Amino acid sequence: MAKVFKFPFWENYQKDRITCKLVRMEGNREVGDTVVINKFQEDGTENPDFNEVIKQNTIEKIDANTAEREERHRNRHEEEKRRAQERKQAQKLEELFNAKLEIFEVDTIKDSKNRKLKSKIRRAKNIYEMMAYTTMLLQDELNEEQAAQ
Amino acid sequence: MKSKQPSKGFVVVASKKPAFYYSALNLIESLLDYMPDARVTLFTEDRFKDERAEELCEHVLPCGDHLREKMYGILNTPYDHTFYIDADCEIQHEDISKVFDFLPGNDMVFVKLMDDPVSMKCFVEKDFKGPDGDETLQLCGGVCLYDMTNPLVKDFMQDWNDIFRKQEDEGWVPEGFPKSICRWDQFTLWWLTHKVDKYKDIKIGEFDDNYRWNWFTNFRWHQDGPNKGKHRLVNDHPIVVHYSNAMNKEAVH
Repeated sequence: MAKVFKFPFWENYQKDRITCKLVRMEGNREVGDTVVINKFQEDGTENPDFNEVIKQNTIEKIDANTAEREERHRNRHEEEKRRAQERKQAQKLEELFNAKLEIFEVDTIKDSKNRKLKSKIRRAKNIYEMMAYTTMLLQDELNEEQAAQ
Repeated sequence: MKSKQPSKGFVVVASKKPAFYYSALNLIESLLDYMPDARVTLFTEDRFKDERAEELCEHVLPCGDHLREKMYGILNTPYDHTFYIDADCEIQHEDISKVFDFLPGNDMVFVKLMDDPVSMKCFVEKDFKGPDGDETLQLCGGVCLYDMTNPLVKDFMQDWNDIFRKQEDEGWVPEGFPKSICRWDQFTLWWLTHKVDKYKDIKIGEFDDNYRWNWFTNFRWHQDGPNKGKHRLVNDHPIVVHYSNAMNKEAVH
């Protein structure tokens, strides 16, 4: 029975290696194994399977499959990158929230009546802003403590 | 004769873990940043209480050490009109002061769980099979605005509390429903609004720009396009940001 090759795409830009499905029937069901087919065999002669893949699918079709596959991979990569950015952004905000809760339990800050600076800490958009306002609040408390002595 | 104005206030519940207490204080302070005159009642365990709670809140009332004492707090609100908020939330917008405007014409107002792909990905369990086929949870229990002057609402809140405790403490699972869905108080809400005839006419409203009133951090932000950097699923900055699953619940000081 003649070999049937489906869904081929170029493995490289030299277009001398193809990946495709070698399809066979198992009862009524079509099954395929992924195969890599080189243009040249080990002895340097042309591989008849390579020419058969091209004959069955045409070079234009293989070009189109390759372009479509590259596009799909590019999109998936972009999507993964976007998701990683999203995760990182959410993680940063969540870490900021937990850090704020920790800071509000530091005794001097916990006991401080300076609601204005506490509010600034709470509304800080990143860890650096939060630390800056925390330092200001601690300094204020220290100054008040010294003035009272 | 001038009718008596209903009292309006906020209820927060912090039980089981100290982290919820710290977070509740942060939530209350964030609320007071935008609404300095807000009346707040905190339900918490005596072992967590310190003087900050008394300073910030109109009432600090005791509750048990159940992980979900929230229905107890909701039920025992001292206000006619109450906005309940989960302790692991933070107020981030001045529109919080408009919350009670949503109550006229409704008995209760909830955030609706939507079917868009973003929110579907964020909820652990929303769709489930019941004896009548496919069902879906529709109301989110993270925040809840309700009118306790209506006796039916009071009964509803009592049942929400009692039935959820039956689920938790006695493992109650209605026939034909999966056990896993019964761990959620949202299922109790679904049960009351879908299966209990007494509540079929209760008016449940929704908020404008729904998720602004309970925006989960795992909804995340737009990464590209004209809305780049903006919060997903909302048209404006969220009012209530919910750090569910993100909060370090084991934080001990």
